[in-house]
Amino acid sequence: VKRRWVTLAVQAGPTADAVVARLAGAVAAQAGLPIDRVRSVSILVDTLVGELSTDRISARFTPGPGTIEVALGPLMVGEGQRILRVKVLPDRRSREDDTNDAIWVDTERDSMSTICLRIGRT
Amino acid sequence: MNSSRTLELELPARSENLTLVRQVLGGVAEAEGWTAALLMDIRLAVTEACSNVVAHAYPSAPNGLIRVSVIAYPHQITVSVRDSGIGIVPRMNACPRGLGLGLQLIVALTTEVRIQSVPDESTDVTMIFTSPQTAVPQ
Repeated sequence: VKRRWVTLAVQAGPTADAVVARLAGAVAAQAGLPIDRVRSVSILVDTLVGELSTDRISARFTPGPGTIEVALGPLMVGEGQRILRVKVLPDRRSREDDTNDAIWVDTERDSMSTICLRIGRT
Repeated sequence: MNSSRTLELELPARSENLTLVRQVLGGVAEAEGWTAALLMDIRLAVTEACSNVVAHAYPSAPNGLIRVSVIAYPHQITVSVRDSGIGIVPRMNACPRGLGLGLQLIVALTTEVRIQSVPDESTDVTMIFTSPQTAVPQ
């Protein structure tokens, strides 16, 4: 099985603001998402980066056929639930939701909590 | 690697991912205020180093990775491209897949380049660039 995901670690601040959403958009384009969805990915990831309070952001971008999953962390205690209440984010709150778009908190990945976003083609 | 302006990127060593490296460098350039000429030099040199990883580092390992780190100081940018591949193998004959100009290009574009290679273990190409505005006048 070929590894597909891309990881990025970057100091929070101007460099993260300029890089994380841009990379998410590029991975989304590579996954075959149409341009309006690529823009959505960039905007939503930019929003999430702005909500994180960590000093150093770890990000994982996983392209799939017509979809992209982005995991951002590490989250402080309670931070995930706070971020889930941000209004512009997708309504679906579980990885298992059978939808193109979803957002959830993952507490098991890489021994740190992450906020995960999935955006699909439609 | 404890600089507050450090970035580390890890991605599968496949040619389609070179554009992701270039996108990341574009973002860093925006944040750090690099000139267009400096960004062009850095992108070209780093793309060349990453292309070498894609082409040569993992001849029998489809899941090989490229690790790119960027440390941006006010007057200097250090970019390292690392892999865990076969190392740089001495060539007795000319490489059939290229003209062997990549390393010369990297040397021409950088202030300094350091290459560390351990056979069957890793290669680390560290490129140092100096911002033209801050270069010491001759």
